Amino acid sequence: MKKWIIVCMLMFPLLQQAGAQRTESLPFDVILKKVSAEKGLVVLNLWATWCRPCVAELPHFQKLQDSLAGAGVQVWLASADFSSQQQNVAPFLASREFTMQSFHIADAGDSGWIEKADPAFSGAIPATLVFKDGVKVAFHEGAFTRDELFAFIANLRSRDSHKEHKSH
Amino acid sequence: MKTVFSILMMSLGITAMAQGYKVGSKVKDFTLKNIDGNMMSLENGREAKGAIVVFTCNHCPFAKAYEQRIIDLNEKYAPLGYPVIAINPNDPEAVPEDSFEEMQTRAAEKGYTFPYLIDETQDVAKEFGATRTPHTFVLQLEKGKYVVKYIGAIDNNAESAEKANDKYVEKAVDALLNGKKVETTEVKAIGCTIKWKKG
Repeated sequence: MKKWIIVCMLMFPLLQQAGAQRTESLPFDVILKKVSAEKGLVVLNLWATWCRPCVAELPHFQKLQDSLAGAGVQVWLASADFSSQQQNVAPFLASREFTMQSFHIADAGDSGWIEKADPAFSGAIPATLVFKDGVKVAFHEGAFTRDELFAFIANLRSRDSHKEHKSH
Repeated sequence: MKTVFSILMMSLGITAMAQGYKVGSKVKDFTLKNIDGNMMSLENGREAKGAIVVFTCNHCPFAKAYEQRIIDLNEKYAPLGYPVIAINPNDPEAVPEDSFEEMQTRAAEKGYTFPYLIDETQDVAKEFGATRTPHTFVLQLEKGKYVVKYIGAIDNNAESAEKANDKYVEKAVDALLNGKKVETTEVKAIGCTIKWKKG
């Protein structure tokens, strides 16, 4: 019995970690490189734990992932939190039961990555990029309501199916 | 129908946001309330050679990270003719921490030596095309009119002043003081969105 208790106690933090789905801190262009290797739609949301409008829209992104995961749509989060605060990102998401793939932008404090995200991006978060088969197809600066987000993505997905029809 | 309408409104919103000053724009005079209760106009500072207008606020972590650097900019450049003018563009109803009273408290605590103005109608922020805090505009007085010479980030590292080794605003002002052209005229940076009034 004692052994089991010890095992459980040891497992607990590991289980916590698994639930917290580690947030890797990577330079932004490395995150972009990862996205470029993915098939299907990747919705990349730029946010930070301290950004109120960002946090307010996270549930919509979770809902998006939940409803469209089967249809080849992935939702990734990239946090622009300070490097000194990056260890807060994973617990922040875990405590709110968000399961989206999560990254931290290691060079967020720098200014170079903003242009890399999109020339139209002013630097104000939240902002969302959408990639299809690794290529950026859309950029949106500002927060989404749930309806707006779903409509935005639905629009991009229907655009694709039209293209596919044309290629026949 | 509702979603089409929202998307239409969103795109209009985005277009509206894209307006604002560019490098070379002449700045319209503005008059805003300062933390000392007095109204202050841009064109008050006639002995100045220019100004460093910073849209900033109390609550945003990026603004906080830059607060000391903003204070330092004023210390260095006000005597040289380029004073800092800080403007809080946020809706205090959205962010109570950015209320006028809180601005006064903060300025007193930190010993601000520059005007900290409240943009109550948010018209000045819109006129400038400010989108976030902090968002800096370096202006030079040319024949009685303030002209925009630099827009954007203060330096290349929001998180750490020590690690910031490319100080865009300082470089811009130094160039202007030496009668030279500003080489890097625009640098984007991350910041908190401006909290626009609803409706």
